[in-house]
Order: sequence, then structure tokens, then C-alpha cells
Amino acid sequence: MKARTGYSTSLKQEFLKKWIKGIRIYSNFKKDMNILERKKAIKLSADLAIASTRNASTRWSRTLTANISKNETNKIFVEQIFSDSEVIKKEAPSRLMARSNRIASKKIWRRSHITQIKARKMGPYAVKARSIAKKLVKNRTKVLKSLVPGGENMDGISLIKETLDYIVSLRVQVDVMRRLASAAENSTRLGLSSKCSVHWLQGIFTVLDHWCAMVH
Amino acid sequence: MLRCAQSTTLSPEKCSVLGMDIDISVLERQKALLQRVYQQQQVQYLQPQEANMNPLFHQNMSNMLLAKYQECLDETNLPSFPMFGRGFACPELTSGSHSAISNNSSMTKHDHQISSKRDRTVSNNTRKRKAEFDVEDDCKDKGAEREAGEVQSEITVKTDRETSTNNSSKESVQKPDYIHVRARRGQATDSHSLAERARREKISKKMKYLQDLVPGCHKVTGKAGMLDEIINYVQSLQKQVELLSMKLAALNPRLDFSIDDFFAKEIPAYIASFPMQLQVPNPSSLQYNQLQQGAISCGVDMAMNPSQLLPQKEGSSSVPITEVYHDSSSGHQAQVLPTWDSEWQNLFNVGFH
Repeated sequence: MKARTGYSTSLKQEFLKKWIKGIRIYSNFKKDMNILERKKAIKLSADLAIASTRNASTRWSRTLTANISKNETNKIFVEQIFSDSEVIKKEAPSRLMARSNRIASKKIWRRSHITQIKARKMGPYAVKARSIAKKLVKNRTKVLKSLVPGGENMDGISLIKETLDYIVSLRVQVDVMRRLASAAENSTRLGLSSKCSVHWLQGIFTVLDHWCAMVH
Repeated sequence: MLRCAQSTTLSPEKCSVLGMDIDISVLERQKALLQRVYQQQQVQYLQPQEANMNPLFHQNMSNMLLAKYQECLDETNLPSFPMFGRGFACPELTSGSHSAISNNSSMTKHDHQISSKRDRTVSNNTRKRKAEFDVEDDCKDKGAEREAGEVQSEITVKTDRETSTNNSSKESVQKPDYIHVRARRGQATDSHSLAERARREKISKKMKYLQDLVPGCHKVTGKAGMLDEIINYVQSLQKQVELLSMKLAALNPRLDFSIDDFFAKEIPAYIASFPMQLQVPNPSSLQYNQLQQGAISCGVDMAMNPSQLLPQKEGSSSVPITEVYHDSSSGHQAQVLPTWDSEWQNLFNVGFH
């Protein structure tokens, strides 16, 4: 029972650790950043941290890391963070193109054939309504593909899978960031340093674990 | 008459008919989402309960699914076991749990306490199962990839035998390699359409998981509406990340989030009773009061998390918790500060030893 509720907290802990580590490395690189650079550093470390919690098993994490490493200045930073062996791989594009071509040709045949059958069966109105609905779905799928990193070449099923995983990770990210932000806010208000806020957050996760263990 | 026939078809038609309404409601939903962003504190406390992972539960989920498939195999004349072609409308079997899940995901505290454990485990299982997709779904996905090529011959052979005998639709997973599909009576037994149907079935299954995950998605049925909600949700989450990182940058001029040895510097004032009381359920509520007071002094949202978790306990203890929360939220933060300091250290020691 403890492990059940412990997973999300361990995920958050892992993310928090990696994120803080990334921020520290970044701030060692560059001293005296202005607010925009700081924000960029924070966001970058957060993205890298949340992508690395997946250990390159999902498409979006791989793409995210690859996109960040594309920038030359970030590359050194990334390599420093992932000095503890992480393979950043991308699928060979040729394989994907072949598969999408096959799928596309089949779809063309199917579309031409099926619309004929359906026009005969259902009448013109239904066919038109259905095609409008399909257009809607297609447009939205396109938008979703643009949102999820690495979603461009994926078919519907894997896109939905990746979206699910991405949503879960985004939530973890937002949750931890929000807690840190509120902790920092309160600590500045109460005059404490931010050091204790990080520890406090980590402590909260373990305390929650203990409470759950006790409850169950 | 034609209208009747059309109205029995699936929801994409309704979507198109109500096209305008959907656009307007999308705007409203976006507004609601923005509002929700500022009230997200409550949402965040759903998370420890939602994304629960455990190999045991994973096993349970897969067993549940396999059991379902076994039922399908055994019963030949049971119509409309909701496996085929139902689009994304929630089937009647799980509609009850879905509505409970919807209560869960609506962001109110008391709903949490009310919602049953079963619903939570169902939603947990689905969400967790999705997050651990690479174990089980990989088998099925390999089946999907090979489906187009290899399965068609299998499908035609099977359907010729079976469409004549039964009038129900079933989908069975016999091996991880293939997905054997039986056609419904009166539907095309064309291999293409069968494969297409199997693929649609998969997509609808995954959309159901998404429905549980994305708040507010259970009201919408049909691919287009749900995709819209998902898009809005992902966009709002990404924007939140941006905002929060900006906020953190503003709060912290030196980016000094450091994980020092906080405890080495402080002199901890151990209250020895603390770790002991953690095992006794009765004084736990008292202790919990102290914990809450301590937590509240440093951030209101932190305290909500324990209160969200505790509803799983017996109902009697949940009542004093909410009372305590209301009491201490009336704000005696300054007085509590010295006490929470020592208490937190004790809790840390509990955690780290």
C-alpha cells in the first residue's frame, strides 16, 4: 500500500533533485543572470529533469532532450547534467516515413471505397456530417501533434499514449514548481532562507509517505 | 424516418450539428480553465492520489481486463458487451464509476471524502496503467503494427466461421501477437474494415483513459470534443510551467536553491514522542492537528495535501481534521512558527532515518 502512493511522490522527488541539480550547474556556468536568463535556466532545467525521469523510454522525452541539446550553448550544459549516462536517441526517420507512406496509401483506398458504400447506405447528409466530424478531428489532432514534443510522425494510437504520459509528467512538473514557488514565497515572507524550503519540500514528500503508510 | 436512423448513429453527427455550440462552449471552457489555473491549489492535491503506481495494481488491472475477455469468449449470445464500435460514449457498465470519477476530478474537497475507494482505485488503475504503458501495451502495440499486414488472413478465416453462428461482437486477446476480431452480424467482414474497427476500438479505449486523466473531459463524448479538452489542458499546463518558472526567477535573485545539510546547522529539539505517536491511530488526529498548524503557517496549500489523503481513514477522524483546518486557517501563523520549526525537524528525522 505504501508503494501505491509512494510512486508519485518518488517521481516528484526525483524530478526535484534533478531540477535543483540542473539549476545549480547552470548558475555555476553563468553568474549574475538577469531575470529572463534565470527564467530560461529554471525552465530548461525543469524540462530536462522531467524528461529524464522517463529514461528515454518515451518519444516525447527523447525529443525534448534532443531539442534542448540542439542549441550549442545548452549542449555543454546538458552533457554535464547527464554525465551519468543517458542515451539520447532518435528513431531513424526513414523507417517512419515508410510506415506513414504505407498507412497513407491504404487510407486513400479506404476513403474512396468507403464513402461510396456509405453514400449508398446512409444518404448524402450523413456522409457530409461524418466528413465534417473527421475534419474536426483531423485538425485537432494536428494541433495536438504540435503541442506534444515529438508528436509529428506518430499515428493516432501512439499519439494518445504519448499525450497521456506527457500530461502526467507535466502535472508533476507543475505541482513541484508550484510548491517550490509558494515555499519560496512564504520563506521570504517569514524571513527564512530558501535552503530550508527545498528540504521542507522533500520532507513533505516523505511525511506524506509515512502518513499513508500509517493510514493503510 | 431518415432522421431517426441518423440519430441512432454515433456522436460525430451530433457534434457537427451542434458545431456552433461547441465553439462557444470551447471559449467558455477556456475561460473556466484560466480560472482554474488560479485555483489550482485544490487540483494539485488530487495528484498524490491519482498517479499511483504499483506493480500489484498493474497486475490487477491486467487481470481485470483478461477476465473481461474471458467472459466474452465464454458467452456467445450476450449482446452489446461494450467492446466494439461504441465510440467514446461511456458504456453502461462503467458509467457509474465514471460519474464518480468525474466527481473526483471536479475540484472540491468534500467530493473527495465522499467518493468511494473503488472509484479511486479504478481511476488510479487506469491512470497508472497508462503511465506504465510500456509493460503491457507494448505487446498489444506490436499486434497493432503487424495487424495491417499479417492478421487479415487470420481474420477472414475466423469470421467466415463465426459470423454465421453468433450475433455478438467480441474482441479477444489470445496471444500478444495478433488481435482476433469477430464481426458483428450485419457488418462487413472485409478484412480492412475489421482491422479498422479494431484500431478504432483501441483508440477509444485509450481515449477513455484520457477522459479520466483530463479534468472536465467526462462531459464531452466524441473524439473531437475530447481532443479539444486535451489540447486546452496541455496548453494550460505548459503555460503554467512558464509562469511558474518566471515567478521562481523573480523570487530568487541568485538562484540559490541549494540542498545543503540543513540539519547539520540547526540544533534539533527532539520530541521523542513524535515517532512513537505515528503508530498509534488515536493520538494521530491530535498530532495531525499540530502538523496541520505547522504546515499552514508556511503555506496554506501544503496543509491541504494531508487533509486530502486522510479521507481514506475512518470517517470519524475526517471530521476533526476539517474543523482543525478551518480553525487554524483563521491565521495565527506567527505564534505557530517556533513550534513548527521543531516539529518539522522531528518529522524530517522520521523521514530520513
